[in-house]
Amino acid sequence: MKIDLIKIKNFRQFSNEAVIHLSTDEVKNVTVIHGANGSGKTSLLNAFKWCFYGETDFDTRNDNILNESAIHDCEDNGVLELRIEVRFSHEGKKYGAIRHQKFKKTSSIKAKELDVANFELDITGEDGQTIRSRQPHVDLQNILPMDLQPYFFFNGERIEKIAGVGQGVLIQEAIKKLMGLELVDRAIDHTRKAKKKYRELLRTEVSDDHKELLDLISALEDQKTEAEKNIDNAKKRKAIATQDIDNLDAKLKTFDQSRNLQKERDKLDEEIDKIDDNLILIKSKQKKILDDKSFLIISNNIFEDCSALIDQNRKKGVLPYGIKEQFIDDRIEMGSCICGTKIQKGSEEHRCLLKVRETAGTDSQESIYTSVSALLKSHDEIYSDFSSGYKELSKELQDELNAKSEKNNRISEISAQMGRLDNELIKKLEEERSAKIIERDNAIGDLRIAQNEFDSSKATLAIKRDVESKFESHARERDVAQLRYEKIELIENTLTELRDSLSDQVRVDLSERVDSTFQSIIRKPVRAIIDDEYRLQILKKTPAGEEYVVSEQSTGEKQVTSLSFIASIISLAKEKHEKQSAFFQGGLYPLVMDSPFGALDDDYREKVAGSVASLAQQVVMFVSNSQWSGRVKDATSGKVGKSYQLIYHKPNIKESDVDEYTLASDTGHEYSTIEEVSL
Amino acid sequence: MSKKPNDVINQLQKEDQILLGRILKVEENHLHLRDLKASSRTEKEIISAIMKEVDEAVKDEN
Repeated sequence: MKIDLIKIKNFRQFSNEAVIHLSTDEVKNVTVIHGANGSGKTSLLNAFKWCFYGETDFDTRNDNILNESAIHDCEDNGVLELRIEVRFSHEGKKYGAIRHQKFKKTSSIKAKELDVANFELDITGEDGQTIRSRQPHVDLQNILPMDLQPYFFFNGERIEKIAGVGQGVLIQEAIKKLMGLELVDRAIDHTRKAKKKYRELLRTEVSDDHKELLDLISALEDQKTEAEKNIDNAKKRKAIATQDIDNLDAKLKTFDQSRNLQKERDKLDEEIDKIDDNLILIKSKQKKILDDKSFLIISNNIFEDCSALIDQNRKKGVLPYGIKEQFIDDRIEMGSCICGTKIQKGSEEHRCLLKVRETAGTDSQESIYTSVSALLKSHDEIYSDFSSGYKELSKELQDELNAKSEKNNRISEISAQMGRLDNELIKKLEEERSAKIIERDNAIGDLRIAQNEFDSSKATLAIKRDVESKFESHARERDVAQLRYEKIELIENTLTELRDSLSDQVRVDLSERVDSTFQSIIRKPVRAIIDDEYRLQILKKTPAGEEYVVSEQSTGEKQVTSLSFIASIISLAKEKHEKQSAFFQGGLYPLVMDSPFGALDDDYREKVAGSVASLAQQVVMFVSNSQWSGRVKDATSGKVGKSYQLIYHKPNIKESDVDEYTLASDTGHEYSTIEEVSL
Repeated sequence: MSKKPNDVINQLQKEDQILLGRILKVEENHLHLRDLKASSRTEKEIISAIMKEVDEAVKDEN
C-alpha cells in the first residue's frame, strides 16, 4: 500500500483545505513535514487515524477536532463540515477513503455534531471503473487492520511501550497478521469443522453406548476449543488493557499536578508485583509442607497406639526384644553366662538359652526398631516443627497480604486524589484508567476460568478417548469413516504444528533483523532478541560472558528498541510479500511517524535519520523545525522525495517572533497552512 | 524452539503430505475471499472440498 495524498479541511489547526502529496518514489521514498511546536504535526498524524478509523489519540480524544477559526467564521446556526480524504494505491487498485462529519455552530466558539462521522471508500480497478464499497470498514480492515495501526501510524515520543515488557501476546498477534499466516489458520479452522462432520457420520453408525460416548467427546472437544478461544481472547484483552493503562499512566505523568501521584502509584505497583511474587513463593512452601507432613495432623493417636503396641509385643516376646541372637550364640560357644553359670550342651540352662534365642532380634531388626521407635516417640517434636513452620509461613502470608492491602488502599486514595484535582483532563484520564483496570482484572479473571475449563476438558477428554479407543466395531462403513476421521485429525494436528513452526520461524528471522537494525543505531554492547514468548528483550553480557536481560533502559534507548522492532516487522512483511512464499503473504505497509526522533540525542537522531528510508517502502515523518536541520537533514539527503513546511499563523505576534515557520494571523485566530518546499 | 516447517511436513507419510498439500490448495483457492463468515455458503463449500480430498485419500474399497 502506498499513500498518494491527504486532503484536510477544518481539522484541528487546518481551516482551509490543506493538500499534501506524499512521495511514492521507490528511492526517494521519504516525505518530510517540518514545523514549529503547536503548528499541527501531531494533528496530521491524527488526520490519518481519524480518516481511516474515526479515532484520534489526543488527550481530549475527538472532542475538539473541529477547527476553531472555521467555527468563528461560520454564520450563527450555520453548518460546517469536517472532511479528510486519503487517496492510496494497493495491489493494482486505487482507493479514496473519505470521512466527513457535519456540525452546527451554537456559539462564537462552539459547534455541535449534527450526525456521526460518515466513512466512504471508493475503489478504482485496473479497468478504470470506480465503485463505492458497500462494506468500507471491512475493505479497509483487509488492507490496514485497525489493531495494527500502532505499527503504521505512531507518535515517536510515545512508542517506547509498543514493544515493551508484557507485550508478547500483542507482538505474536502482530507477527501473524503482518506476515499473513492466514492460509494455515483458515486450514486449521476448516479441517476442525470437517473433522466434526466425520464424527457426526461415525455417530450414526454405532451403538447407543458408543454414541453417547462420542457425543460426550464431541461436547468436550467443543468445550476445549471454546476454552482455547477464551484463553486467547482473555490474554489479548489483558495485554490491550495493560498497554492502555501504561499509556494513561504516561499521560498522567505529563501533568505537573498529577506527576508525583502517578510516580508514587508506579512505585506502589512495582512493590505490589514483588509482594505477589512473594505470595506465590510462600504458598508454594506451604504446599510443600502440607504435601510432606499434613498426615501428622490426623495421625497423633495412631502414633501413640503404634508405639504402645510395639512395646507390648516386645514384652510379650512376639517382637524381638533386648537380647540379640549373636549375644546368645557367643555365650553358648564360651560355655558360660555373664553371671558365671556354666552352660553345658543339653543342660536346663542350655535349653533356656535356646528358647530365648527364638525371640531374640538380629542387628538389622534392632536397628529398624530403634529408628521406628525413635520416630514414633519423637512424633510430638516433628508435629511441633511442622505446626510452627506452617504457622510461620501463614504469618508471613498474612503480613504480605496486609502490606498488599495497605498499598492497594494507598492506590485507591491516589485515584481519589487524582479525581479531586482541579483539572478536567486529569479527571477524565483517571476515570478512563479506572475503567481499564476493571477491564484488565475482568480479563485476568476470565483467563483463570478459561484455563481451568481448558485443563479440565483436556483431562476428561483424554480419559474418554481412551475408553472410546477400546470400543470395537466391525462395521465396514464405520471403519472407513473412522479412518477418515483419524486422517483429518492427523492433518489438523500437523497444520497446528506447522502454524506454530512458521510463527516461530518468523520470530527467529525477526529477532535477527531487529538486532541488526538495533546494532546499527545503539551505542552500547547489547543485543536485541525476540524470545520464545515473543517478548522483545535487550541482552547484555557480564564480564564472565554470561548474558542477562536488561530491565532498565533510558527512554531514548526504549525508543530505539521499539523503532527497530517496528521497522523490522514492516520490512520482513515486505520481503515475504515480494518472495511470494507458499505460507506467508506478507504485505506492503507505509510508516507514518510523528516525532520519530522523540527523546533521542543528536547522535541517535543522525543514525535513525540515516536508516529511516530503509524502514519501509514509504515513509512519512513529521519533525520539529529544530530537529530538521544539520546532521538529521544531511543524513536523509537523497532519500527525501517531498518536503513540506508547516506555517503557524499566530494572532498578536511580536514582529521579532516572526520567522519562516511563524507568521502573523490575518484572521485574529491561530491556524496553520502548509507549503511545499523545493528540494 | 519448535520444529522447522519442512520437518513438520516431512514427518508425515508421502500420501499424507499430498493430502496436506491438496487441503492447503483448497484454502489458497479461496484466500482472495477476505471476509469469510462462519457457516456461510462459501465456508460450507470449502469444508466439502476438504472432505472430498480426504474421501479420495481414504477410499471405500467396496
